[in-house]
Amino acid sequence: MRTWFGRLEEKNVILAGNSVNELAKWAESSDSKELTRMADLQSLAMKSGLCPSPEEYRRLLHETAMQVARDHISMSLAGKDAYLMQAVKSLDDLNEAYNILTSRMGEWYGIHYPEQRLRPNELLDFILQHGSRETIPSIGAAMDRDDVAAIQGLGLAAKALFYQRKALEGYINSAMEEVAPNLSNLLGPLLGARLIARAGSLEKLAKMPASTIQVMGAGDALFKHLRTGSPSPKHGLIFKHPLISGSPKSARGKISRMIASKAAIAARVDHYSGDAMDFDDLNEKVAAIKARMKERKKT
Amino acid sequence: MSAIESIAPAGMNNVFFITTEGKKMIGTLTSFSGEDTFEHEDKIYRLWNPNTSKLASMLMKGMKAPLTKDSKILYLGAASGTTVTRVADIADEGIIYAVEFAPRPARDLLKVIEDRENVVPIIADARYPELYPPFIDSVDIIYQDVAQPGQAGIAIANADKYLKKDGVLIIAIKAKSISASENVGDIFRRELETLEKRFEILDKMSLEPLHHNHLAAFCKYKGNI
Repeated sequence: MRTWFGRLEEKNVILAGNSVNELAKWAESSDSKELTRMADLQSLAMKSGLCPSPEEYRRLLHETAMQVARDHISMSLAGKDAYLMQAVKSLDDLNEAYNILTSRMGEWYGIHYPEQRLRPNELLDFILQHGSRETIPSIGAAMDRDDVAAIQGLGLAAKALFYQRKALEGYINSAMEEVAPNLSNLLGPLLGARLIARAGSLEKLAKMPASTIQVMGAGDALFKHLRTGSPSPKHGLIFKHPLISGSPKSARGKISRMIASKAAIAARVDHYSGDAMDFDDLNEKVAAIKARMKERKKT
Repeated sequence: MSAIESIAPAGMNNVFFITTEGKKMIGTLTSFSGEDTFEHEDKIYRLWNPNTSKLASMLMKGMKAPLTKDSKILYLGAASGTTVTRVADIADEGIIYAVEFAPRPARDLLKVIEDRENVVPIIADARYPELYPPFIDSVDIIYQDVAQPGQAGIAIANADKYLKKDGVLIIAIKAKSISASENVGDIFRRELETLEKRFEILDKMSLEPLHHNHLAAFCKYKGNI
């Protein structure tokens, strides 16, 4: 059984240390799975010589838990949103690099097999799996072993980027769950992270008005609107939200205003209180807006 | 602080009804002076605002919480610690395990319990009591005020792991954290039904008007049967 001060083997306690630091390090890396229900940790600690009195037990327990909590918080807060921003930017870099490499490979392989109409991902897998087009009839030039090895080498690098992108998306998902769970829940982790990255930090996003969030990323259109009176932009980055991009054009402006307002609230709750929010009514509201717009069109 | 007219015990360790200018308020006796404390006859008191604390609101409404000076309490949803310090005033010889998941409010929590040796902070997700660092052996009381869906489920998971048989659960059920669209009464009924799998409901009470859509319940743990 693992307790916060050490391990119980047979009937002996093997202490993890005597100082708060040693104990905290041990407790941090332990969970309560092995803890027996209704164990008496205080007597165990006193019997093992960790502390002479119940008062001392309580003090040591408090100090150790404080240390564990402090470590945990600084780990999960210190610059987490800064890391998140870099991860989002890296994801864009990876996408760009992946696209450059795969389009280069399309061109390269096109000399050998101009008839292929595969999508970049599929072509990559095809090249890695088969090398040359083998027996498929084609007007393209022949490819010897060295030619195949050269293009496959590039293909492996592109494939590595592909897997790295997956891994980075997973990282962004879990980091968002910690930094801004409500925003992540409302917009999806990636879009939520993009808004944080664009704002500069979760705190800055939390201090933005909903209208700013709504047109964030549509700066050119916004200033053109302010300068020349052209139509105002209805959505910036949040256009990627499926409820906006998947709605008829006439309703998008209203829906994006509603979602931007929700996002502003979510960012504030995530930053200042950390409570869990509930967005059950979102679909209903979107449906209501769509219905209203449809009605208006008829009249 | 204006003139104190009377200070009378409220039936719980270190809790008092304090009357000033004809208004009856609730407060705790504490050994930590701070911004919100005042001294009266060489003792330090803190007024307790039922608007910001569901526990205070329950006590003002006359619910009798079985908190004693040496209670061991598992406090789920410690947030920034406003109510935790009250519970720490009451159970000044006990232990309060204060669980909070969100790092930002937890930072504030650590600040207010820095000197309170009877409070053990645990930064963990209350849904998974198995994953807490192994600080807790058993508790007499679970006090739960979390803003998450599945509140009854959280109470059961924690009780099965840590609550003594016949121990008490004090729970503030927040309907709006479970579903924003469903009927509030339906939500309460469903949560109470779930609780009845493990608990006997001793008392329940709406916390209106101070806390909207909140139901407080006191329940006795029957054990994992």
